Amino acid sequence: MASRLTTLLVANGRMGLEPFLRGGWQALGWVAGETLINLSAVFATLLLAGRFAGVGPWTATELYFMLGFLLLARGTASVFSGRNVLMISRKIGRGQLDHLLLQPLPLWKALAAEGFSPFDLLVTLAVGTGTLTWSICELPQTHHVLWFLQLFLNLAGAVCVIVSYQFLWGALAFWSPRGAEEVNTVSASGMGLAAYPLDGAPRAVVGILTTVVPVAYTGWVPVRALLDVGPHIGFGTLVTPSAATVFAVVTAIVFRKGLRRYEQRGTGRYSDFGHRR
Amino acid sequence: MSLGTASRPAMRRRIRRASGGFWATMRISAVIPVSDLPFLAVTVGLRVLQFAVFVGIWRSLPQHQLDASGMTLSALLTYSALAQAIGPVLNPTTTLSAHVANGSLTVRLLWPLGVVSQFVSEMLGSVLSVTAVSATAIAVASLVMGVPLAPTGAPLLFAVSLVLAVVVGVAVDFWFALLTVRLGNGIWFVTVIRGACTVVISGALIPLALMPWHIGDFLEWLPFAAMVSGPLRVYTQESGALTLLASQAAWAVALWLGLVWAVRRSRDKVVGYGG
Repeated sequence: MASRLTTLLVANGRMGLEPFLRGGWQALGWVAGETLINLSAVFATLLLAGRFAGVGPWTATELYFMLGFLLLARGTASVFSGRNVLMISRKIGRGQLDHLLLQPLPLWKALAAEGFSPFDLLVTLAVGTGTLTWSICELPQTHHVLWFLQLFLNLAGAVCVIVSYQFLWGALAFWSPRGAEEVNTVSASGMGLAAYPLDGAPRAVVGILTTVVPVAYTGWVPVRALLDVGPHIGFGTLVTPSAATVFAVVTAIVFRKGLRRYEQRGTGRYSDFGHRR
Repeated sequence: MSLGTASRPAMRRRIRRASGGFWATMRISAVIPVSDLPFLAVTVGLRVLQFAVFVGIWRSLPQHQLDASGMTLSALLTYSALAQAIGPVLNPTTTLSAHVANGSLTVRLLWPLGVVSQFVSEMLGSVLSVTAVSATAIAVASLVMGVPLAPTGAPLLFAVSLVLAVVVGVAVDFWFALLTVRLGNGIWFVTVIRGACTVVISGALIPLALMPWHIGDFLEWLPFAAMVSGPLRVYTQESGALTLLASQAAWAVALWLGLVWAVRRSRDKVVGYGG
């Protein structure tokens, strides 16, 4: 089983490499575009960290750490969920899910293989890793092996939250293929709120950003716990992985319900727009 | 009868027909379909969330550093509120790029209304109705969070600045559509560049005065500042409005004259489909 998935991942990775090997500006345009999308989401906080010594209880270095964490989480999620897999509502709404359901593979494996696109996000991952590494070296605290394990666990949790959040909202397209086709575009725009420290935000806003739009788990919550920033408010280092597990379970339940409905009713629409382009 | 006398009624009829078409298109575009209401609600909700997050950030900045930037906390809060309330107007986006990319621009050329009038009237209609909703939501959020909304600058100058900002913004939108043509319909890439330019370096989120490393001093000379940051600064600053208005007017003239020249050179590259 694992070798079959590996074979598919290698095949899709090779397909992703071909535009680069063919030359021309298109491949560079994709890399530049993906880099701009991810960097512009964090640019505002980057500017604030550069201008001021800190924001609230956060020092500039801690803010850079948060941005590196966020870029790495988003980049990793996009590497395995490219080609509109993270925008699953488009695939469902345009009837493109049939491409995957026809394959002799479990749906999750087909999605993972189709979404694998490491080369477009290379620069984003490099910037995220570099920023994270630099800020870890600059932070005054010393870090032990357990802390690094917690960091990787929280990064994995953040990636899981990003994918679950998009799939949960994208599942609306099962019930309204035409109306909810672009719901993931709107939900993705909410992810821009992950780049800001939320210590001064009203409690209602923090509540929304940890439930309905759980983007706080991709930056502020895990980093606050890892670096022990500000007064203790109950967010330990296991909160993000726990929240990720809960969201993953809820998303799986809702998505399966939607798939069962899709199996019974199918879809009256089909458009190949955006499929493997 | 001289030619001058014969052409005046004809000219008046043409102007009346063109303006009638403009206002009718605006009215049609201003109607928000029921199916779009959930998306509008979520989009406005995200704006309110972003505004609330920034209010929290501004209130937690070190006071002495904020004073050194030349902006008071009150002006900063008002700046953010206004940026979110009239955000759709400050970043006017027509459907011209989409029509260029899918080739349907040729169909639009057959309409009995000028291309510029068509796209501008459609944009204004939809933008004004969305702005009304988001401005209401931000005003209520400002009331709840104690954010002042009264202008520091002259309201009349703000109105003039806003009109100039829309003129510059439409020109920038048309320039990006032209870039789509020159890049062989690379609309995704152009949209990404545009998003980065208009959100990040225009002063929409972070005022140019608060940017580090003197970046703001350079960015305030760009057209993105004229279309976004200009009216916001006129509203929240006591002085300097006339200089800002002059720079906006200069950009409006330069961009539109340049556009006419560039369109003539790019006309042959436009690809059409259908009819």
